[in-house]
Amino acid sequence: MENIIGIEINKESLIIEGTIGVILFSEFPSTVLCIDNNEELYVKEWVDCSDDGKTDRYFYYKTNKKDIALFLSNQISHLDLINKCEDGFVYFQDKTGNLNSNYTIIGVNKITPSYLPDFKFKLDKSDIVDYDSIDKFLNLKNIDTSTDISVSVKNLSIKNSNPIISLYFKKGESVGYGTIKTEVLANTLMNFEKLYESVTLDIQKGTNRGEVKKSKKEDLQDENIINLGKTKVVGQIAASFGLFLTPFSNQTNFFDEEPFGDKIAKKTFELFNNSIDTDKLKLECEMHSEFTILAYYNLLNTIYKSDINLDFIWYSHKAERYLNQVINSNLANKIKQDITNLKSSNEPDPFNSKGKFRAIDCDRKTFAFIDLDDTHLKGKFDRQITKGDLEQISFTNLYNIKLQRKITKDMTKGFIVKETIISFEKDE
Amino acid sequence: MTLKYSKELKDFGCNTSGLNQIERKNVIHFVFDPISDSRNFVPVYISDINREKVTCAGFALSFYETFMQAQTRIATFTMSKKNIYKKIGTHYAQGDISLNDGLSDNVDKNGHFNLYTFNDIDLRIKFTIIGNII
Repeated sequence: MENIIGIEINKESLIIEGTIGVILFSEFPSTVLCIDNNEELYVKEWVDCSDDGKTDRYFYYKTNKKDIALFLSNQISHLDLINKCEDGFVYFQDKTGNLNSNYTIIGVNKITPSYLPDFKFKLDKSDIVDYDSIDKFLNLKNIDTSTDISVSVKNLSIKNSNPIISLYFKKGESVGYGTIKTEVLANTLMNFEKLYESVTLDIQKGTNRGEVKKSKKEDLQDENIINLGKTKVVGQIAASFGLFLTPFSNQTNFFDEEPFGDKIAKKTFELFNNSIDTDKLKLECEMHSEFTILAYYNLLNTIYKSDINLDFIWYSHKAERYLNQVINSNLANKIKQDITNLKSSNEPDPFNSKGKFRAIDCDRKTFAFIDLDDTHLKGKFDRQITKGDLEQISFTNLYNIKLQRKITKDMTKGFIVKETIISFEKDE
Repeated sequence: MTLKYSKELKDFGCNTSGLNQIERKNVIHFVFDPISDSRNFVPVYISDINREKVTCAGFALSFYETFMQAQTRIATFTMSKKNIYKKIGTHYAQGDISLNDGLSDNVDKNGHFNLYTFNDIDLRIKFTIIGNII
């Protein structure tokens, strides 16, 4: 058996009065629900034995009715149940015949992994041995195990006087009760933030805009626009895993009744809601820039690859508006496929822009261009434009350019936005 | 024929009226190697008389109808309790159960059933180790 290092306390410190019922397994009772002399609920877990089988090792941990109900209804895993133990520590005890050792207390996060259930282990209801007697004792049907995150979202919106965006990770291998793999959370947050920012820029700069780079310090107008497209984390909830965001800046224009954050949310959620239908997705693709569609594609890719079930919620107490969309990995994959099919079969309409060239490579026929809205475009010239044409370009003149934009698949970079200048002329 | 642990079953308040004599071939039981190990084919409440008694099945032996069911079940156990093999067995043994071996309950959805053996029955001579669990 493994060496347990903890604080030893007298075995009289915890007196288990009786057994309510065996949870697992019928062939070998290894997880048992008990009650102590103070009528507190404890779970007794068999975890090890000596090589001759004569000494058994158990650990006990304090729990509560709701957590047991959540476990038995498979809303939390066995590992979650242990990690959620009240007080944060467990009592180890070795039993040899009718002799019990003193307890050794250790923190729940110090339990050796070989004594813990696998995080993938899910309870099968048919495996619960004494469900009826446990139900009778705890009155499970009257324990509210539902987690209505929309209530938390609404309350937080009222408290913050700001709209709340919730990213609720409902399911997935990387999601536990109040825990989530850092990588999955980071990727999802980053991709959502990029999408939110891109929708903001579409509203402010139009959908035929170029890429907006980080603004120079003196360019306050662009800095304000970028801030409008940012969010900040204001809370989280352990119900699977839920994160609450709010717009970094939710100002209202003097002539506009609707706060800017509300506009961004409305457009973002229209994209979510409509994208589940292929025909409506086509219309959405026409209403957003390629950058936004690409950002959405990347977010869907994260949901699909992480195999998560994500519930997006937005609520504004002031506007009394509630928006939501659930996207699981299957739906994410479907929308991704639809976007890929739309992008590969549709040739988008060319569009015009006015601005100045910043860089030209006459041999490779590539360009960098900044338009009057300070958005950046870069790409290639169409093959019909000659090297001689390019050598005439001046960096000080304004030019009207006609562009073709496409999202294409790059083997190493994934999807990228490609710009091609079809024609250009000096602005007279 | 008398059940081997009829006194213990009676003291614990077990009702054996719903059990039946059965015949099953190639059933699987978890054992320790060698088959003659003293822990094999002994109900848990008999091998460990001080164990807290919570179920009548503790006076019976566990079997699975097929090898695949036994494999699936041990995989489930191991996901919950990684050291369970140290308690219930390190190997699979296969053999036949006949009508004169004992009384059985019904097979559950996992292919598991309990056998309450009759007196003078030694299943070690009827079973052969066919593979290891770990």
